[in-house]
Amino acid sequence: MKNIISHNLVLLVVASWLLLLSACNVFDYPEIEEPISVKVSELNGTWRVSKVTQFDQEAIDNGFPEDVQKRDITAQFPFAEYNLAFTLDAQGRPATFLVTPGNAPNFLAINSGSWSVDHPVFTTQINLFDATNPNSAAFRVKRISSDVIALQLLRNAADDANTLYLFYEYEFTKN
Amino acid sequence: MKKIFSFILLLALFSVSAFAQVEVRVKATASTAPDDGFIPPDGNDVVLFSFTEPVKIIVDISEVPNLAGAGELFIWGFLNGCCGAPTNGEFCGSPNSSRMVQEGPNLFSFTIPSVRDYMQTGFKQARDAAVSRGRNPDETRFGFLVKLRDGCNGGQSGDMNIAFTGPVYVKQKYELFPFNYSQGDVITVVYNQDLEDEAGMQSTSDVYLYARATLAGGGTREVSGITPELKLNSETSDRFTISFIPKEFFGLNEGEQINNITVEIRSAIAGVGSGEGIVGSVFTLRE
Repeated sequence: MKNIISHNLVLLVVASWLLLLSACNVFDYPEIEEPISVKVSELNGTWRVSKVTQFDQEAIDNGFPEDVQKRDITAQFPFAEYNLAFTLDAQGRPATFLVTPGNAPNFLAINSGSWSVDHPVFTTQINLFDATNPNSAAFRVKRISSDVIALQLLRNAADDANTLYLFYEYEFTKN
Repeated sequence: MKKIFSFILLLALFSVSAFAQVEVRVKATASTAPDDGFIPPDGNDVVLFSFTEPVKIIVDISEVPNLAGAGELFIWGFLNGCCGAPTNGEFCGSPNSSRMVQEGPNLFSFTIPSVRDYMQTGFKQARDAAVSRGRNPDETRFGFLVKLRDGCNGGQSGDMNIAFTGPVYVKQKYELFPFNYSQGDVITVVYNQDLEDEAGMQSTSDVYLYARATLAGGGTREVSGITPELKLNSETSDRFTISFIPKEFFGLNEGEQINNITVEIRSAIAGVGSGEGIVGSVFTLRE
């Protein structure tokens, strides 16, 4: 019996030490910027560009100073003319989209068609497509308030889909 | 801790780049030594430098019989496992842009603005090149050989490779934002006048862009003139910018592809300019 008690005591001490060690261990979690999800119903309507920021992915990856990581290019081109409209069907599901760029640069390969989302309630990506058009596009949803949404358009190299070299962040205000 | 260490390293590298021109002195060999002719940093003649800082490479050719005594010498740059420098030209006829400066008998130098700008590649390609040669991705190396203008008849050294570290931001007279772009993207040429060494350009705020696109498959397109469309905007008293979309700016036809863009900032006074420089790196866009 004495041996059993001693054995259990040793196990208890070892287990306590392991517990203590694991509690003291500092894990180096990566810093993740969580995408803020939106509901499909919140995207419904016509949106006008209020700001466009361009990001240099290499400068970001390199940890360069912030002013060489991104540039506000809103004033350089007539981006205020750029409109994007999303409609829903009778069941409240994504239906059609229409891009009206005006005289603003348009980096999308497709201007009208259907849209879908990666999740109906926690949307983080919007896909733009048209069955009659070989081109497609996608926006990464960045953030939203009641009448402001930020959508990111990623630019990848032709020979390597994993090479994201820059992206544009469009801030849209609801018309 | 990792961040603090990185910051200290960054600061140290920046300090070096801010106060001293990095010089690397090597002795060329007639044939390529093992390990792609790698010459490891020794902290003395061969110092470690970053991907983004200027480096003066000084080469002694006294031990290369086919080159010793040459009156002119040219550099041929590359990243083993990746690519050659865009300005290499033809091996049988190097262009003047690759011509080295004679520093003394059998001693020639060449200054690259940085490995990034000279090779027009991102750091990812440099890391990928290291991996493709069986090395750790952090073991990035710049390769070069020296040669006669016509190197096709044996008039060359063996390959040499020297190590460089990751990128450190070093402000340059001409910068392109973003560094990597496709010809359908917005790009911004940044002119940092505080780094200007041409006296006639140091104080004028009336500055204009001259730009030349070199196309894949040959041919160039130029945009120049003292016009409102080419006038740079003043962001600060010594920082000027101009933004455009290359495809439209150079009036490219369908199927034409830009290889690189050379810029010069010019004043309104004829003949007064800041000198040409290639900016950025063109990607073909994935649609």
